[in-house]
Formats: sequence, structure tokens, C-alpha cells
Amino acid sequence: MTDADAAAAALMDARRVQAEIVEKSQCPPAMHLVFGGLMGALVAAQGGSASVVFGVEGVVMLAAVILFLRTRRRLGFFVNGYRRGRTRWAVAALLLVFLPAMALAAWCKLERGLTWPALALGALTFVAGTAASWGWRRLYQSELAAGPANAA
Amino acid sequence: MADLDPLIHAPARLQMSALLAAVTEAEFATVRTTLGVSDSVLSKHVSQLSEAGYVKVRKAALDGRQRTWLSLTREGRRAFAGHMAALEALVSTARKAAE
Repeated sequence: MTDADAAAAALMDARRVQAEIVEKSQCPPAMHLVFGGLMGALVAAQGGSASVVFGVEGVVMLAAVILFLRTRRRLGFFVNGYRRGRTRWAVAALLLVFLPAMALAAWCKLERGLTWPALALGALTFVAGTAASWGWRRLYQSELAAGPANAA
Repeated sequence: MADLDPLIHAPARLQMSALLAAVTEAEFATVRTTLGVSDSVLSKHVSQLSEAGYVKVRKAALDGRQRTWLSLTREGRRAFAGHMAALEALVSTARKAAE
């Protein structure tokens, strides 16, 4: 076996292990909807009273912790959403929608006393959150498929 | 061109590095099952990579039991990426020479 053959075999081994991780980390489509729902709820809650805002924030935080623990227990590994790589584009795109939507929803409620903009922006954020979650997963898969070095 | 890293070069350590490069952290048992090695063999490889500063070992309770979690350090990620680049360069050079 030549050095090049050994190198090709080593690359194949690394790819096989990472393909297994991608396969194991498959999540049902409903999980993207749940993520979008949590993000949308945070924005929509801005249209309510202070107790609604704090209540929803508490529920969302609790749900996020439960999801994290359940996923980690089920898979035996964890992938941070803010990991380096192309997946950060999905995070950046989501934040570009989420942060202005939160600020605008809160401003409409506090300065104008309007509730409906928060609900509309919450619905928009739900769509953006679901799409970002789905996009993140696609980018993660394509990054690993492009070669083991890209994962690091 | 990046050099091959002798610490990562062994098949089990290369596979462990590839797995850990794809995740933030993984449980010892998951790594062991994926690599198809025994506890003692994996422990030995973890120790070697940990002593080199490539792998971080963390103990944490899960379901009331103490579990070991492994992750690649920044230096470990850099070393793995360099090793992969060196392997790819080796394969690519051989392909070009064969053409």
C-alpha cells in the first residue's frame, strides 16, 4: 500500500465517522417548527403586559433547556448552534429578523399601545426561525459532506 | 502545505478526532460505540490526545450517573484540520502524478 493509498483510506475513515454523526443527528421536521415557534413566541409576547412577557420568556427558556437535555441524552453528543463555519450564516440571518422584530414589537406596544404588530412580527419570526433551523441543518450536512477538514 | 500529525495519524485517534470535529462535545460511550473499540483502548487514546492538549475531558452527571464528555480543543481542531489537509494533498498529488 502506498502513502497515497493509506491517506485515501484515512480520509474515507474520517468521512465515514462524520457521515454516521450526520445520520444520527437527523431530527424530525416538527423540531424546526418547535424552534420557530419558540422564537416567534418571544416576539409575539412583546404585545402583552409585563407579566406576559416575563411568563413567555420563562417558558421559552425552560423549553430550550428541556430540548437541549433531551437531545443530548438521545444522541450522546451535542452540536452548538453558534459553532464556527457556514452554519453561522443561518444564525446571522435569523438574528437579522429576530432582533429588529423584538425591538419593533416592544416599541409599538410601549410607545403606541398597539398589540397587533407584535403578533404579526411574531408570525414572521416563526417563519424565519423555522427556515433558519432547517437551513442550519442543511448547511451543517453540506459542510461535513464537503470533507472532514471543513468540520473542524 | 500542512504536515501530517503523528498524534492524530493512528486510525482510532483519527476517527475520534473526526467525530469530535463534527460536534461540540460527545459522550465517551457514544465515541466508543462509533469507533467500535473497548473502554480501555479508547481511554488510552483519549489520554494521549488529552496530554497533547487536543482533547478536553469533562465529567458531568446525566440521569444520575457520572458521564465523561469529550471535546476537541481549539488546538485539537487546528491540528485535525491540518492533518486532513495534508492527507488530501497527498491523495491529490498522487492522482496528478498518475494522470
